Amino acid sequence: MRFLRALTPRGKGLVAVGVLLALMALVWGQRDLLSVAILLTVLPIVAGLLVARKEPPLGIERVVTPAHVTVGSVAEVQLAVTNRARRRLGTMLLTDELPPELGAPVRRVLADLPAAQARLTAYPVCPTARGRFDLGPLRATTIDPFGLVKATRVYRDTASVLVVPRVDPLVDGALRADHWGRGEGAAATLAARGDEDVIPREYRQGDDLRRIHWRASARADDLMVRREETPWTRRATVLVDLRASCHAGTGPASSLEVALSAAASVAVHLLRRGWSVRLVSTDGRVLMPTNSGAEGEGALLTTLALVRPWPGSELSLAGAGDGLVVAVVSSERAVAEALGGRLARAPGQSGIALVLDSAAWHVSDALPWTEAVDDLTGAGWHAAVVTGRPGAVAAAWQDATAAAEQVRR
Amino acid sequence: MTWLARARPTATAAAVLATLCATATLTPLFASGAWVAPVLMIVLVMGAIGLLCRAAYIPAWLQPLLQVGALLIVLTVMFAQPAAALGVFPGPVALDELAALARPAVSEAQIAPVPVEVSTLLLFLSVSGIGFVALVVDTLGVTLRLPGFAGVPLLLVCALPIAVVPGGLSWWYLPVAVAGWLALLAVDVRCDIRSWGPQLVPRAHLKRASPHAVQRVSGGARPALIAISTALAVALAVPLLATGLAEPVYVSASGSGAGGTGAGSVSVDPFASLRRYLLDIPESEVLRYSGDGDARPYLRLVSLDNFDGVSWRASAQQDGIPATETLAEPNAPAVADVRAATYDITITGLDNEQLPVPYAASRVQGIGAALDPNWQWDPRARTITAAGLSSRGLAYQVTSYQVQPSRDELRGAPSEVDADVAELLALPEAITPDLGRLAADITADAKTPYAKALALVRWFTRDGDFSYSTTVTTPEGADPLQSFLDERVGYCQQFAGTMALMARAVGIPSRVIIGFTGGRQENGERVVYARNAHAWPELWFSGIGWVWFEPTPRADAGGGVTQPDYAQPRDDAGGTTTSGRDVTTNPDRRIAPEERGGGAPAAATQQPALTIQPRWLLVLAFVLVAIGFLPALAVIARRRRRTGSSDGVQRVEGTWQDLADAVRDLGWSWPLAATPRSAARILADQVRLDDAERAALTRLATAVERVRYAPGDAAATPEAASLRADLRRVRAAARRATHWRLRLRATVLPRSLRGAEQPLTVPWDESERDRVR
Repeated sequence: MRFLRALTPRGKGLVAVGVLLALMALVWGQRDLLSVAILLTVLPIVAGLLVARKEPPLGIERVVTPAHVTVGSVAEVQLAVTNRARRRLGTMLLTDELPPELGAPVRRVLADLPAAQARLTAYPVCPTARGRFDLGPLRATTIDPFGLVKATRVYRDTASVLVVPRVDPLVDGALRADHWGRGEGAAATLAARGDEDVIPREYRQGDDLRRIHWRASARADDLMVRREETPWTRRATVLVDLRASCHAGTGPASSLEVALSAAASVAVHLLRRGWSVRLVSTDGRVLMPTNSGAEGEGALLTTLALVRPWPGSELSLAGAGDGLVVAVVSSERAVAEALGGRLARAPGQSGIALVLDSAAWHVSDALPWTEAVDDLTGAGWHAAVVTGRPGAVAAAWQDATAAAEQVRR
Repeated sequence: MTWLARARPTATAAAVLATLCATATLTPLFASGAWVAPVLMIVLVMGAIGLLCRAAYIPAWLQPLLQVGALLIVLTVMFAQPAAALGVFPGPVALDELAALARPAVSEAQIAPVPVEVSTLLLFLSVSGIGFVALVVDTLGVTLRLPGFAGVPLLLVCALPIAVVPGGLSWWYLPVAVAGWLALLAVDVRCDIRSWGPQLVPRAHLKRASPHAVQRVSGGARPALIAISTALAVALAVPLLATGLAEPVYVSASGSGAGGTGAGSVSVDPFASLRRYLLDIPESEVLRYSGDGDARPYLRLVSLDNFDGVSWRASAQQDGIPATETLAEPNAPAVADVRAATYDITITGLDNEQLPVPYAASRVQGIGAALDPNWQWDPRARTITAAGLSSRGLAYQVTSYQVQPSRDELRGAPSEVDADVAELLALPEAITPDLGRLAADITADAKTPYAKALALVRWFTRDGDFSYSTTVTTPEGADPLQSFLDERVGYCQQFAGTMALMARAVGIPSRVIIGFTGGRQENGERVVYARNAHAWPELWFSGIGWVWFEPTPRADAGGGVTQPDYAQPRDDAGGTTTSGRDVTTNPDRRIAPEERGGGAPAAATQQPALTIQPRWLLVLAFVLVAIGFLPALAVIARRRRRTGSSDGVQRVEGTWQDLADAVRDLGWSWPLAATPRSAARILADQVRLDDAERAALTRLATAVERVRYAPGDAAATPEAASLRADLRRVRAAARRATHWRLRLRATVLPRSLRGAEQPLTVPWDESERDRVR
């Protein structure tokens, strides 16, 4: 009975007309009419048996390049369909269902696939939102050459795509980046100095005896060891404002997405330069513990892809540790004050603040960004504004780092 | 899209092929191939015009009009060139001329025996008919992309040879008939596939394939071949296995179809029209008459006096006498009772080249208007014919002599035969020898010609154990005469013809008359219906002339068939039923199946069909219309099921779902994801509702909300009380706001019945809706 359900309206019409003609032929004893009637009836049935037989086992494989897709960029999905049946498969109309965030369903035709062979196709996806999305399921509609029968099967194999915030390439504003913060070049500086400049620390269980700094031990009356590793690990904390109340707008141009994009750009920029980065949010959560290198980049992007805004509006900077703090915050008085106070309590720490132009997104209670930047600069931050325009993140980074350079000099 | 792609050349070629394939099945209908070239030409012309129309963005409704115009031009050039404006264009004169061709063409086609000679009339009919089919197939199948529906005209074309070719069609008929149409379907599916999307390619080709290149759609040929060949094999084999369905046999098919008869003068098979009257249009009125003579005379149309070995024929007519002249009184010196009688006859439905008159007509005058002088007497048969004229609508007065011999006079008739009727004793050499032996056996005890005739009548009507049936089967290849004598089943044509032959075999000159029985009394005049069509023998007696007999058994005791006085079987105990012509058993029965074989054995379901049967087409059309209304019935049944559920919750949800389906069927938006409240709002935004309708819609939505969101017996709320009335009111409002085309579509093709994919929004874009509105 499966093929009866599979009949298209055309097939059903053919069967209906065929049966009626057969009745007429039997009533009037018309042999030739009976032949026509049987042909019309049998044709959809045979086509149905050919088409709507067992579900053909298909191997579905999807490869997404690049693995991490950013919002607004285009990724290519390569879809490979393998015929795992022992028979040749007829024409199939394939529909690869995509989540609405990735685009419209993709339609392809699979024609005449011999057994154990594979056919490929590629299609672009252009995500409009962050997140983890499943490509598929694949619908395969088998049709017969005359359009009498149509049977649709769903293949549930899916492949997931991670859509991460946009990562802009950043350029440091200063020629020599080691002049700001406890930044790059600290290790080299350490190596160039002599023993006198060694900063010893207390001996701890497990330290190599050969590393005991005897002179310092004598002076301190305790065992001291040389610190060969750099004391200033290039460690940065990226603080991102995730409070829903401070953001507005929807889609990739919303202030939240821009903030995440800025955070991602900064974090990736630092990671690629050898920094260890941890990611915290203004609500006090540690989104990603300290991590570095390629592994850190992967974890960072995954975290930022899946992160959701925080429903509360309370502010907590507890997550921010020592080292360089890069804050991506909305332009709000509370934030500006909290950040300023924090830097004041921890002298020697340096911070870069990228302030969103929240007023432009019509966030209620937003501070004009000039005020916020002024406040933060006054409190010792190197601040710059991030607007909604393309390239704003790179520009802000360049401004902020240049400001840091100027202050140093 | 290039103009070439827009014109859809492949599909056009397939449509042309489909029409040509269906037309090819008409080959057995024609005796020569003279029709092929013009028909081929008109099909190509129709295809070419369709192609150009599509290439030139001609709207779909205009294309058939242009094609009809082209068809008229071609017909004018072919058949009415002298009357054409500018030699080509069909002006009013040429159109009149074409219209004048159409009527006789149809009537000729209806009665012409198969295979027909290709006359101008039939060529006209073929070219115009096939041209029309070609344009319908092109418009439906290519322009409108409904190739399935294009099968309907093709099926009608293919049904023609099935209905009219005697002896069945050869095996190639079926594959040829469907090949073109299947090609059209396949091309359409190809087009669908191509527009679905790019094709998947082997890995090696992936980088090379350009996504924009037009791809050849490969594959599909193998399953197509498997499907077609399997279906063909089944379709050809099953009817052969069905033994109850022997090949249809046409009773006098050999008579009209056999090549050897060569009766060139007879272009119309009288038996064909007889069968047509009896079987196809039995209830249509033929004529009305009243007169002062015999109350219900048999009315004679044609006299067949020549048996060519297979069938009775009219011998070539000698010089006719204009019907304006008066014929002499019949030469019957031995009969005392010869009376002149006049009848006023009005032809109401007979379209024939003969005028029905009672025996022995001698004078005929038009009533109202004079008769066309081309109507001519056949003086020997006393029938009136005119080649090329039609009896339709004529009214005339006939004076005829009623020769009513008594039994004694007949008994006294000697067996000598006058010289001028001697040739009516001729029997062909090839006739079955059993006939003569049988006739001699039957009439062994009879001495006089009259006694022999009575013996024959008695044998046919009583002793011979014959039964009456208009549906007769004869094994293929068998001699119809022999088969009739073996099976003893037949109808008036066989009885009359066989009795006439037997009479000749025993030395009585005979002929077969085709005409009508006396009909039925209605409001002071007699009305003759097509079912009264009849055939009977006339036998010649010396000194008396032609005397008619009735060998057809009155199996149904019908009111039409009677026995003359002189042939009443007197030795019967049944003087109760038979007292001559005046006995009309149940003359006013509404359906008097005198020749229909109402009581005939119903075992044989076969029907001799030699002519086009309009009833078929009517039935087919009715069936198609009925199919069109099936979806509407299904929708109503679904509504009854949904709104009639005994469970209150289901009733509310069902009503809501039915409203959703009805609204979507009409083409309005009803988002799947909408809550009851928002769905109602969306509907109210689209469709203008008055206050009562708006209240009904709100009540429905509230009822659904309560069922869904409120605990307890939500179905018993006041909103749920008037579900059906509210549904009807809102549905009526939605229908009222919808364009009639969409309403029709919602009735004939409701998309909610398709079920599979429910559109989330309006099925087409808003611009189109605005246009339609």
